[in-house]
Amino acid sequence: MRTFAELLRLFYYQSKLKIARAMMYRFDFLIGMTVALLFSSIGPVLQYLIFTQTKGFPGWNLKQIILFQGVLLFVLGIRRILFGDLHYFIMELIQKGDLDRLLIKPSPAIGIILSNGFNLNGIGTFLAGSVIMGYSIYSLDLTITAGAIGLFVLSILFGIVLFMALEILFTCAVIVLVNIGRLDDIVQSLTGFGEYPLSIFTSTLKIALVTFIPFAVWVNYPADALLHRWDNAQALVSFLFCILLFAFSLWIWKFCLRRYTSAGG
Amino acid sequence: MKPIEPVIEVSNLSKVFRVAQRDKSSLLSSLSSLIHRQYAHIEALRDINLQIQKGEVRALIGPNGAGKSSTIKVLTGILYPTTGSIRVLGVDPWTNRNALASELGVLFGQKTQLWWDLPALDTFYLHKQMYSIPNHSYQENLDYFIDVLSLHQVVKKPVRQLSLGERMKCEFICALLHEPQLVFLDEPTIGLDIFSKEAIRAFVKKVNREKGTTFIITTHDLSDIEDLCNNVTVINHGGIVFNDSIESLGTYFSSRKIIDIKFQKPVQESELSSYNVMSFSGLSASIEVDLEHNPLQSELQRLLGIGLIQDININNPSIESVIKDIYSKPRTGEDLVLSK
Repeated sequence: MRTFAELLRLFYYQSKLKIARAMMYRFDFLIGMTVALLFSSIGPVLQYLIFTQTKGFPGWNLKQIILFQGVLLFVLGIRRILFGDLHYFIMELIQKGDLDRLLIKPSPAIGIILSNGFNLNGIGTFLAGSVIMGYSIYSLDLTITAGAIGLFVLSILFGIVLFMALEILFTCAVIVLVNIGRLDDIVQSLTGFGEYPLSIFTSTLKIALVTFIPFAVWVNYPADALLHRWDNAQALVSFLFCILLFAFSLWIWKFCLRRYTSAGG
Repeated sequence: MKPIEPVIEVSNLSKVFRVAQRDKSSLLSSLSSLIHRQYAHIEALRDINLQIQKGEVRALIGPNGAGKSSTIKVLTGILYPTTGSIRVLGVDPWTNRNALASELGVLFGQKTQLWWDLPALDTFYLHKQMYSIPNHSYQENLDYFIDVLSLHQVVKKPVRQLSLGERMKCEFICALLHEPQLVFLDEPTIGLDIFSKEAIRAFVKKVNREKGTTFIITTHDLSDIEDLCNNVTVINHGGIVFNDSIESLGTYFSSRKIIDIKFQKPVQESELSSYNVMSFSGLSASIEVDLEHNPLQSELQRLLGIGLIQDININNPSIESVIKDIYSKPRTGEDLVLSK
């Protein structure tokens, strides 16, 4: 617990430095945020087109799907703010042997890596998600109780744990294979499964997305919490698998670190 | 400062790397390596036995690829050793890496810890948080290092605008801010001008003297070693080939002497043909003599017979030539063990 608090503190200070750095290059920051906002707005428009031009998603009406899109952007925004810089950072670290610098710090190296992902450009996506979510809650006339907010936050937190597990496994793969440029794309494509309502998948895939690869925690569960469609048993299973995956990733990390070869001078 | 207790104890350390190998550089060879790849097990370190005392300034030297950096990486817990026992400040660095890190300072001359776009002060503050340095200690140490290294204005400028010497001094502050007991400096003076080198060396000596910090320095700059170090460990082909004091390195060739001789009138080089002449300019010569074959007295008598001598100096061979000799010794045993 103490280590976790230390890492949170480290994340805070590293993020402060990243903000200071972003402010040094204001134009780059403004362009980055504008581009993020523009790209974020494409998602809901695309979903609207898909929904109106096809039979839609089973169990979801248009307003609910717009809410789902808002939650998706909100979650993607958080993910980008917390871990946006991570893949590039990890590749650079391992390929150039710079992981050495982190291994001689008093905090766990994997914690320092995870606390280094802060990216200010995610704010655009986060804000777009918040606005769309707010609008959808209003247009759906939803009553947001403290319980719903609690479950929403809980899902987001477990989603972060799951994403950390994936990032740790990604780091392990880079340690072992060193140069694996397309791994980033593979991870992005796989995590894309979590960006659609569970109801569109086959039952086998649905079970997988709730258990072994519990991507449902990212968007489905927070949206369910707001729509009062929360399933306790299903969520509990997914949360348990998130924790198991995280523990597994840490175990793999310890194993892979022994195979780290650094780089020559 | 008299050494009192070991901070590093290494016995029978070895480290083997598995490295993909390709015999030819042809396209066919590249493609075939996709299906069938040969690996070599390279013994980067073999049977290293080493003890370093508290308060020492120890040079760890060797030619490129000798195993110096691998040794440091194993000692700091970055690399996992294949075999052997290592105790650094009383603990195993691999299993206690995080706990040990607070007591270690590491400077990689070719890598930076500083945030490139921001003033060095920002990185120092991040280190304060990372190492949980109390406010008063942080400010006291920072003021001390800034004063000693004359960095008052430098630490406020973005790192990318600093000269190499200024940046290196800031890297030193990063490595020492948390008052580590043991500091590894990996090529700390690489690429620096003579003034920056002098400032860095004076700084290391001051910190060693005043704070009792132990330093382990890898360098290719022999003046670093002569100026700073009490003891020298030479690593070559992954093993230790010399491990003694700097004075012992100077008298490594106990039977060899260098005679620098200045004649009153020019002499012919042919008159010195029976000697190993290292340099000659008509009026002066530098000659290496081996006292195993002839005593110094008879060598001097022979030289006096060549011409009138204005001045004569007898020295030990330079440390540079000693190290060159040590480096050039071939490795015994197999370098590589090829496997499928």
